[in-house]
Amino acid sequence: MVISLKIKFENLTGVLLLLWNICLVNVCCNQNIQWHTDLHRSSKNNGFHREVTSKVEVSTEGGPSTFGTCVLLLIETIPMGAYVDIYQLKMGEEYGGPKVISEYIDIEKPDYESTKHDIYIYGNMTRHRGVISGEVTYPLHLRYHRLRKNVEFAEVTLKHPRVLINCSNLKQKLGGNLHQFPCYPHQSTTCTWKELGYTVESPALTFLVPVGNSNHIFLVTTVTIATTLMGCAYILYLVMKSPELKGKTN
Amino acid sequence: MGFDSSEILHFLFGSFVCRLIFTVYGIYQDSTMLVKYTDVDYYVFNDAAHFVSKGLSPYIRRTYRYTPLLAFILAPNVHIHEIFGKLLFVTCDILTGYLIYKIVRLRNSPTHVAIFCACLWLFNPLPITVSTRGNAESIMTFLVLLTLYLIQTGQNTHRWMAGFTYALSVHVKIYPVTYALPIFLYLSRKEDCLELMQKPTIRTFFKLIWHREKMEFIMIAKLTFFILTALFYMMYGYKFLHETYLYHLTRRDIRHNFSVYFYMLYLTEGSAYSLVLGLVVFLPQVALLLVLSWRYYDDLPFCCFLNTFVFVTLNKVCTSQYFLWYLCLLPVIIPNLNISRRKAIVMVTAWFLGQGLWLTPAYFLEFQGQSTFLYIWIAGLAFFLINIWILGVIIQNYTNRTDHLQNIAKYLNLKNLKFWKRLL
Repeated sequence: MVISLKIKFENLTGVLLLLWNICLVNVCCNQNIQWHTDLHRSSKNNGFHREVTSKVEVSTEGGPSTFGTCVLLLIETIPMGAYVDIYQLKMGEEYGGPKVISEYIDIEKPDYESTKHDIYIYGNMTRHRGVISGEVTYPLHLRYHRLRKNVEFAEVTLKHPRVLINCSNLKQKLGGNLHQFPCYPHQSTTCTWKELGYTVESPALTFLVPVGNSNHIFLVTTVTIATTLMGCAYILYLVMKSPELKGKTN
Repeated sequence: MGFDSSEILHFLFGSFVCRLIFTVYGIYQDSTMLVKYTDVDYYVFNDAAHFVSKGLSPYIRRTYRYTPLLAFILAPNVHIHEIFGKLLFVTCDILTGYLIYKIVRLRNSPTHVAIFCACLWLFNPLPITVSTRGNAESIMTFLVLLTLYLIQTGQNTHRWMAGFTYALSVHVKIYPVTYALPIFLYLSRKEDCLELMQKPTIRTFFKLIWHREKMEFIMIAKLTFFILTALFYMMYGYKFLHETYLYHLTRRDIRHNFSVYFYMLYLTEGSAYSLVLGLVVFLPQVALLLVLSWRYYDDLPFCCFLNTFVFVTLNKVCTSQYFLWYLCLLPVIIPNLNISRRKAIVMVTAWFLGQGLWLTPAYFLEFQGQSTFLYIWIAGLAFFLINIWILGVIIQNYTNRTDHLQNIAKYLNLKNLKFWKRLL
C-alpha cells in the first residue's frame, strides 16, 4: 500500500481508482485471517444402523468483527461398505436433520456390488466468543459383506470429510483453498467456499460389520437341504395318507 | 343361535372404528416423533403417486416395485389428502373380513361361526397395524378372497368377474399364480379329471381343458392380465416389467430374513454350485404345490391356504408381511379343522415362539452388531419345523364334514360375542 502511494498520478481517474483500491483492501482483505479448525467425529449405535456426528469448531484471528451468517459444508465419501438413504435424510430434514445433496445410492446391494459415493452435507454454524461452530448428525447404514474364513467381522472405514465454510460477510478473497459449490441444497446458484484444514483426534471412523463364516458352508448347506427335504417328504407322506376330501365343500 | 346375517355389520363397524383410532394415532406419532408409525412403503407409494399425478413414471421413485395401478389409485393422496391411501387399505381390510364371513357362510357354517371367523381377522392386531401403517397387503387379501368367493358362488357372471379379479391379483403381486392349477381343476368336471388319471391320452387331456365354464374364466383372466401388462408396458417400458414382475421372480436377497434358506444362500452366493442349490430349493416347493393342488383342489380355499403356506414357508425370501398372505385364508378353513382347543393354543403359541426365537438373534445382529448368523440359521430351521408341524396337523385334522362344528361352538362363548356386539 505504501508503495502504491508513491506512484505519481497522471489524472483524476487514476486517483479515484487508487482510492477505491485502498478502501477495498482495508475492508476485506488486508486482514490476514488465521483459521484454526478442530473436527470431532463420533458415531452412535451398534450394528448395521449408525449415526455419525461431526462437530466443527473454527477459531479465527484477525478479520472483520462480524462474519455474518456462516454455513458448514462437509463432503463425505461414503465407502462401498456403507450407504445413506437419501429418502430417509429428506424426511430427517423436517426434524432438524442436515440438508444433503447426493446422487441416488442403491440401498440394497451388498458391499462387493456397490461403489463409493460423495455426499454434500450442509449445516448451520453459530459464533460464540470468537469460535464458529457447527454440528451435523446423519444416519449411516452398513451393507452386507462377503463371507470370510475364520473371521466374524469385516471393517468399514469412513474417512474424515472435507470441511468447507461460507460466511455472508466474507464473500470475497477469503484466501487459501477456494471452491465453487452450491450455496445450499436445491439451489442452482453457487458460492465460493473456503476449504479448511483441521486437526482431528483419530485418523478415521471404523465400523465392524458381522459377516458369514465360510467354515459354516458344509454344515449349513447339508443340514438345511436335509431338513427341508425331510419336511417336504413328511408333508407328502401326510397328503398321501390323509383321506381324500369328498366333493366340493360348498 | 340368536344371530342373523345383519349382525356382522356391528363387527365390521367396530373393527373400522378400531382401525380409525390406530390411523389417527399414526398421524400423532408421525408428527411428533422421529420414529414414524407409517410404514416406509407408504412414503414410496406416496412419492410414486406424486410422479404419476405429474404425468411422470412412478418408477422414478427408486424401490417402487409395484404396479403403476397402485400409484394411480393413490393419486387422491396428492390431490385430497395423504391419509386417503391408508383409508383405502383399511377399507380393503374390512372388506376382507366381510368376505371371510361370506365364504364361511357359503360353506354352510352357521352365522355365529362365520362371525367368529371374520372377527379372527377383523380384530387381529397384525392386519390392523399393517393396514393402518399404510402397507398395501390388504388390497391383495381382498382380491384373493373376492376371487375365491366369486368362483365358489357358482354363478356364471360371478365366474367372469372372478377371472377379472384373479388376473388383477396376479398383476398386483405374483404369488396368487400358485392358485392357477387348483382353480383350473376346480372349474373342471371331476369326471374329466378322473378320466385323465385313468387314461392319460391326448383326447382326455383336451376334454379336461376344453370346458366352457373354465374357458370363460381363463379367457377373461388372460385378457385382463394381457391388457394391464400391455398398457403399462407401452407407458413405462421394460422398467415396468422388471419392477412389477421380474424383480419379484428373480429376487435374491442375502440379507437376513425368515426364510429357512437365508444363511445357506448367503454363504453360497456367487459360488460355482449356487445354480444347483437354486434348483434344490426350487424343486421341493414346486413339487409340493403340484401335489397339494391335485389333491385338494376340490376345496378351493383350503387348497389355496395350503399352497400359500407352502410357498411362503419354502420361499427363498420371507418377511413378516408374507404371513398375511396365508393368515387371511386361515379363518375360512377354521370351521373345518377338527382340532382341540388345547392343541390350537399350542400351535399358535409355537408359531409366535418360532418368530420370537428368530427375532432375538436377528435383533442382536442388526442392532447390536453381534455375529449371530449361526443362531439365526438354527432359529430359521426351528421356525421351519414348527411350520411343517402346523401344516401337518392342519392336513391331518381337516375335514369337509360339518359334524365337528360343535367344537367351534365350544370355542365361542356366545354370551361374550353378544356382549361385544352390544359394545360395538
